[in-house]
Amino acid sequence: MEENTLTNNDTNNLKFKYNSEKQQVILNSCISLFRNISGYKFNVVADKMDKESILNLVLEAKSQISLLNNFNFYYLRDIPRLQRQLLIDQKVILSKSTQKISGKAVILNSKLVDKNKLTAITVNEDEHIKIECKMPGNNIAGCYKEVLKFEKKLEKKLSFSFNQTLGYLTSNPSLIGTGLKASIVAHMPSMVISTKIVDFIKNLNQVGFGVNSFLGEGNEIIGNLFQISNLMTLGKNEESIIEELIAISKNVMEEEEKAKTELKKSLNLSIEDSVYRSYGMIKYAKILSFEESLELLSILRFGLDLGIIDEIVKFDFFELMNMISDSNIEINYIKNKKASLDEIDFIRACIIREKIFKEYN
Amino acid sequence: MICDNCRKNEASIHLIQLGNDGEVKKIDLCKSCVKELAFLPEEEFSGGDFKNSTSILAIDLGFFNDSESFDLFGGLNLSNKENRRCQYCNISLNAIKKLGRVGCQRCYEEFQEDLNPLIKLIQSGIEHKGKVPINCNKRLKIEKKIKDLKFMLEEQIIIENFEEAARLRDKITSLQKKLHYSGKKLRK
Ligand SMILES: [Zn+2]
Ligand SMILES: [Zn+2]
Repeated sequence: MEENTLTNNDTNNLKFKYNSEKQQVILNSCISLFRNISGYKFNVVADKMDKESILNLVLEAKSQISLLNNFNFYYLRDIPRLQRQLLIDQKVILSKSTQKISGKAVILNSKLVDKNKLTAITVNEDEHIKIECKMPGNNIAGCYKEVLKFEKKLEKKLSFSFNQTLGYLTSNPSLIGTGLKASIVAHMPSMVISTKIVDFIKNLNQVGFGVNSFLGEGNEIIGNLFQISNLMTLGKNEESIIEELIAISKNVMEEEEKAKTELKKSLNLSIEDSVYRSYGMIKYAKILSFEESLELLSILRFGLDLGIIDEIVKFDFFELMNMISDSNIEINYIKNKKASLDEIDFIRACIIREKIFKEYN
Repeated sequence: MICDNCRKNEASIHLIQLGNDGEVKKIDLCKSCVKELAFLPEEEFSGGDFKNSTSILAIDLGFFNDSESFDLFGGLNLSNKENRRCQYCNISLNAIKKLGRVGCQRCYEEFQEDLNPLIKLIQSGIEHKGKVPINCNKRLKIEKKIKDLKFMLEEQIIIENFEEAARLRDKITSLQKKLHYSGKKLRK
């Protein structure tokens, strides 16, 4: 039975390599498959022994699957606090998972095989197993292909809760059937500025897709970032869920582009002003919080796409976003010593300046 | 109909919400309040793992013409059944409603009539149309076999043929192991 401690080296591998030339509306794609192991209580009522049994079954299955040779099995309790926070910030594990940590584990790729995807299998979060793949940009089909590869191997070794009528069974009734959640992260500043986002969200809801703030809590939207995902998992098959989201992502890009073009035509002083204010803040601010940075970067990226400013680097929003999270700064920039909040905010401002003005300093 | 949020504007959008308490609620909102309320807390939405504790599940689908019908759990004379428990995982119907979660795969059969209206409401169908596990047919066969053997076992016990009963029992146990019923058995 292997057991590892997540090290700095491992978490370095979590960073994506992005192509900054790629279009910047769909920033990230993600597919999750939720599965439970037949014959065991779901985690809402499972006790320590039940969870231990699930962990052992998954570990045993892992050892027999060569596709998972390059993956390490980590108990969440063994992962240092900062590294755990990084996994939360990268949305690999749920933030609430660190409250009740025992019996939970995550299987991650330990080798630098492919920087362009992040595949993770979490064990004993809300469902017994979640197989998840994230890829930068618009690549829903690619994520699904990847996830399916792992699921097929696992289902040969594990027997998943399933019944003919309701499909794969989960503790959460909103996941039964396919157990599939497909999502994209979209950056839609023009839709927000033109307030078209309201009707857009309503229309998506009507076709069974939910729109949520990607980073904000509750109804707070940070950095004009939205997460769009299917609300229904039963009654349609995997392919139609994927196809629907692909169609939606195309629509998102078109609508954002349309809104952008319209704003460009009717460009007013207040829009220009907010772009230049963001520019000024990023250029001269000494300390920047994560949330404030995202707001500024969103508007700056918008100003760049609109052609209001051009004297900065065409930065990759999502890559920069991951780079400037508190946990990433603490792990990769401060290293080992205890950092104050001001120090983190100061380093954040430096990282952003360096990324954005590097050729123009 | 007046907006439930601002209590000022005419509500044009009708939402169905699964509350934190597991209750299904109907909310009527005006256009301007929808934007404000259509988002989940970040935590509920991280990494593609979507809880539905406060999620708005359907907008404007024309459900619930009368105000009674949305009260799926509260209104259907379920009070006397609230504390009915799943015989496999021991979770009560009450707890399922509170948590918005079921306790085991058998809960879907145990509480079928209570869960089906909810499933109908939050899903786009009531029948699975997607992929099935590769070992599904094999498993169904084993499950059927276990069922048959249990029946035979009971017969043998009635006629006090304990030797044959023991043999059948061992066979059932080994088949159950195949289905991963090994580890820890579900509490009866
Ligand atoms: Zn209102
Ligand atoms: Zn149960």
